[in-house]
Amino acid sequence: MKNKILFSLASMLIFTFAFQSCDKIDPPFVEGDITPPPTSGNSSDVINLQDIKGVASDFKVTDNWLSDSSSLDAVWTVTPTSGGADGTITFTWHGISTTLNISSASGIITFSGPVSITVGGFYGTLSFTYNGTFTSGGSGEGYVAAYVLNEQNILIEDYTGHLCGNCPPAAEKITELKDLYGDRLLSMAVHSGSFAITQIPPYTYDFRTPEGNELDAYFGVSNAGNPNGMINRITYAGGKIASWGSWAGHVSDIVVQNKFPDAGIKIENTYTAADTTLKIKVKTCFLNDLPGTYKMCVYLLEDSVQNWQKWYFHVPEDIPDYWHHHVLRGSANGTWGDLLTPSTRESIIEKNYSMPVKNEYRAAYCKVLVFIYDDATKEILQAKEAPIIQ
Amino acid sequence: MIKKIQLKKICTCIILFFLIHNAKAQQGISGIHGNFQTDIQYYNPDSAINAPVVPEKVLANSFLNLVYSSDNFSAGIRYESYLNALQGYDQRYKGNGFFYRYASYTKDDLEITAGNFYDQFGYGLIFRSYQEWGLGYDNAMDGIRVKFKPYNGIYLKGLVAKQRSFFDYGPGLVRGADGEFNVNEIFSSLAEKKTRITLGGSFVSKYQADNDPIYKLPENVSAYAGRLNLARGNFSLGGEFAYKINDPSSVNNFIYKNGEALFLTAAYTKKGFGATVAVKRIDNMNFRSDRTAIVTNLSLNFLPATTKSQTYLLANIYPYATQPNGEIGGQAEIFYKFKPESKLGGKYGTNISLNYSRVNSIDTVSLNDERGYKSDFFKPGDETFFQEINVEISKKFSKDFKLILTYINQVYNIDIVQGLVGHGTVYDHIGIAEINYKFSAKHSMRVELQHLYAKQDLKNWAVGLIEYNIAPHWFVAAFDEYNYGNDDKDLRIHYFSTSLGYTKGVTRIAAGYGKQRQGLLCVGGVCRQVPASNGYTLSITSSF
Repeated sequence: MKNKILFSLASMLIFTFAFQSCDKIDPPFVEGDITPPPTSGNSSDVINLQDIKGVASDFKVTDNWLSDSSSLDAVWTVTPTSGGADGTITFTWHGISTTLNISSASGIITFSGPVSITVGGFYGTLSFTYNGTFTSGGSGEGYVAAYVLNEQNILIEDYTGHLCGNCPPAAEKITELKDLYGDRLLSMAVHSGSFAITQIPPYTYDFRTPEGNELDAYFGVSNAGNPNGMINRITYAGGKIASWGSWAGHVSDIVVQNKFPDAGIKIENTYTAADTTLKIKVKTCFLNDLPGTYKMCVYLLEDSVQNWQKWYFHVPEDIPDYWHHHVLRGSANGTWGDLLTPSTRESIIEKNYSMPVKNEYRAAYCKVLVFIYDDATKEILQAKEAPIIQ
Repeated sequence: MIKKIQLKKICTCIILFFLIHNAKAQQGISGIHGNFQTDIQYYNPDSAINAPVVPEKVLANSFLNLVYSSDNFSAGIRYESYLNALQGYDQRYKGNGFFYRYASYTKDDLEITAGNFYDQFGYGLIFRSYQEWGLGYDNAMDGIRVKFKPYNGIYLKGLVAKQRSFFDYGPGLVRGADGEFNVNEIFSSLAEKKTRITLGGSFVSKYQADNDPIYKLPENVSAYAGRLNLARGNFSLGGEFAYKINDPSSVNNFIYKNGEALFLTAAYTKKGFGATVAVKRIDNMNFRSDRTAIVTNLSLNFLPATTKSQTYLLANIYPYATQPNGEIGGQAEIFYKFKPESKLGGKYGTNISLNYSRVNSIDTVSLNDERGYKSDFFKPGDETFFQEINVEISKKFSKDFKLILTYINQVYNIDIVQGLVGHGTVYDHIGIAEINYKFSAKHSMRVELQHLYAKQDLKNWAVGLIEYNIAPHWFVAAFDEYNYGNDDKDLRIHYFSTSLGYTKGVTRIAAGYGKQRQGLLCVGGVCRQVPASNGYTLSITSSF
């Protein structure tokens, strides 16, 4: 009997110690070394071609907004680890190719000259193939002048309300993520639902919009509780609605995927203060052939709106001068936007809009948010924003 | 994911084959048993009561449980179908399939379960896995559980599992162990003692990867609990204390404060008299296997409500939902039976019960940073979440006639309990008279008259209910719940409902028609929203 009791106690202790790996976190609670991921490249960035064997992958160049010039200059050098190669390498840009000879001497491979291809089109795929042999592999570097590598931007829709005492931490999370990811991280605060009502003084300011109410009714975000939101309206295992605690992880997953975007957006705003009219020119380009139907929304947001906000466990709980950021104020083309067609690769579509900006909105803090989405899944392909005063 | 689904299908087919094969081979106590339920509703549009539009018109929740058991072995599966889920249920319950299956073997003092299981450690403060069909709540575990009784009075459990999240799993891994020691069984010299002592301790740890690029989130979050139960004669005393390390989550706004819970209960019972007291303090004890889960999804523990479970319609307009972030409260109940033939007892005796419950916020001082707040353990906060006084008198006047009179006084903080804003606190009085009358051995009737008086929220309500039973099979019932006191005349609506039921053996079929008001359905402090609806219902339950 004594042995059995001792055995039981020993088992319990072993169990307990085996599971003793609990992570008590002491301050500071922030990661010490936060290295933001690479942002868009510029003309001085070097692109590592990594090992070159056989036909190398296409290098896609997009979003050549820096000038209307459609010329593309590329310079490549390749250094083999040993041995060498002879042959040619061909660069193709919008169907126009230029071929360089490769020669090797003393293990160093050079091209016969820089690549320069002049052909129309802002977007496209710069590809290179070679018909030589690198006998023992190697590595390569190259850069392309006058390009901006287009990345998939991420839109967080934060469904909130000024009476939602749990919502400010979610807004703070967006600020933290913006600091980390920069311009890639966009956000829109949709004030709707029971926490956005205006009947309870001093929370009488109406942040709601017809567009926000319609979105909330359709996606049911506030019904699931506030704060909640969506990340590019992606459908996760539990649906589109993502609790704010999951936003950082979801955004990080998208960034890490480094997925080539399906579309690009360019926004040109002209704001006339005299009549508070905003003219918006949007150019979009599909970067892949996409089956299905796609739409584009053009929203007006206002940043840094100072007004009341409730914040539980904050002192004071009722904050009269809280800064409300990226507040949805209206749309130029309706809640669900316009159809974009055709959705074929390199098709460029330009649309123009005009909308009034209410006097109560401060133009200096207003911006236009544009996003393209799949009408069937509602998932967002690409998003971009630009201030109305450019 | 594909491999996981295929493996699950293979396991289900194996269990199904085994069940079918043995159903033919064996009869009697060991063999197949199970139960079945389907709830179907047809929805009419009704904008007057804000009933949501249901494009499918007909929604249905159903399940079939099959269990095979023999001397040492049992296996079971459950088929569930949500095509589509009834309104008010989480719409992530969508589709159908076998999502609950297990096999269990017991040999000597060892029981091993592989697959899905439900279990509880102690009072459930750090671990309780259970299913409540009416709530759409199911946090079943899927993994391995071992129960071992190495000696008389020593009961050990260990588990390693993932947790169900609708038709998938949560991201967390759960590990747990529990030990319970019945002192009177362990030590033979104490076996006959009047004082009975049981000690217990449990440990649960959940792992979830930290994919937050900004904050250091604890990947292994552990919780510990210790409990003691004493009983002597008519008196019993029990309690459990639980502690949880930092667990930043969506529910607590990602603060790094530790969590604590204390639950104490005492009872005294003897013939004709009973008294119970329960007190609790909960501080930051939301514990889930996914730190981003909200509402009722992926909860690992159960925090007791310490409020009276009500069955009357008007008493359920304002039901209490436990606040895992922090609450302090308790409940006291006294039951007394005036003896038959006594002055107050009458010929058949009279029962009287008094129940008082109250829940307050805990005292907190905000730290304005990720640590959250600090809280004095014994100091209640200023905010009343809930208070209820129940007085019930039940008297049988003759062998055919019984009367139950109930008075309820409630203080209910709608904003806190229901997570709303602008509704404030309701102070209401409810009076209920229930009459049970037997016309004959087979015919009986039950009538309820209820009235709720309040100056806040929806204000006054009245209910009339009549139920007629024709034993042993039939019942028919009708009731009207009328919000006559609503400030908005358009919302002074009669929520009329009628139902007809047939029971034979263990099978029950009930069909109904009517309007249902929007509200909360709560079981043990865990609640779900019930939207308003208008239409027909059909419910079939059976077991075999």
